[in-house]
Amino acid sequence: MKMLRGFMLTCLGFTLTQCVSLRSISVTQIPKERSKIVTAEVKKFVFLAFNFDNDYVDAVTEELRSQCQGGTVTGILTKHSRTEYFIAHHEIVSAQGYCVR
Amino acid sequence: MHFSLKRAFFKQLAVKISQVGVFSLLSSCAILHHAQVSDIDDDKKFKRIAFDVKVNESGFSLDEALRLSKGFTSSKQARDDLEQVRLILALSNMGPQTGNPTFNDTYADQILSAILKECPSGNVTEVKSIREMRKYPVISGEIVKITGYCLVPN
Repeated sequence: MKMLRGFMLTCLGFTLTQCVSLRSISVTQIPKERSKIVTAEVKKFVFLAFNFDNDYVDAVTEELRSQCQGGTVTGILTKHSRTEYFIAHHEIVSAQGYCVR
Repeated sequence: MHFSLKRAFFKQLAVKISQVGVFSLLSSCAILHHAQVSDIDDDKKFKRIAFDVKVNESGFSLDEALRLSKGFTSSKQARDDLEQVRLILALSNMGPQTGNPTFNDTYADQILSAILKECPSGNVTEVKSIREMRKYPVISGEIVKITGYCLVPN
């Protein structure tokens, strides 16, 4: 009975703590021509608090640039959010912009 | 009687040391506070030269220091007093903030001149601005990191 109660509480903990919080947001100059949208997202799973670097963010710009070769990506909306789980969390950095040629 | 007292003391000491060890292990990490990406120019007429600028300042968490002191204090009166101080501090430091307080609030002002030193033309692209914290027990490194590319004509 005690074990079942512990299991139920753990399950409840898992379901109640998957909350998303928006940490920061920024936007750059929005262009006139907005026909081609480019998006990129990077995420890192962090168990407890074991995160020793934030280099994963670097991949965002590379991904955006690869989708707009020879052009300019502008009007970039950058979002940094966090999804909390029971004893871990996901750090998510996403960016959306317009490719102008 | 004397032997059991000694044993209890060492047991308590071992518990405290392991608590501090776990605390130190868990808290020496990089915490991301803010990430921002600027416009990206992939014009092939320019050569891209990467640059990296970083400034940091030591942060200090009085709240954590008080919490640690509370853990090491055996007197109930002292623990209550420390809790009172923590409460006063918490109430007087309300509001949004990133990281721990620093003793110098101008440490990030030199970023612009540092970027211009790396890229004298000021023609930069793909600039990533990262605000992060390296967290250790009680102290922290409050970091602002700017990476990007300087565009120079081919």
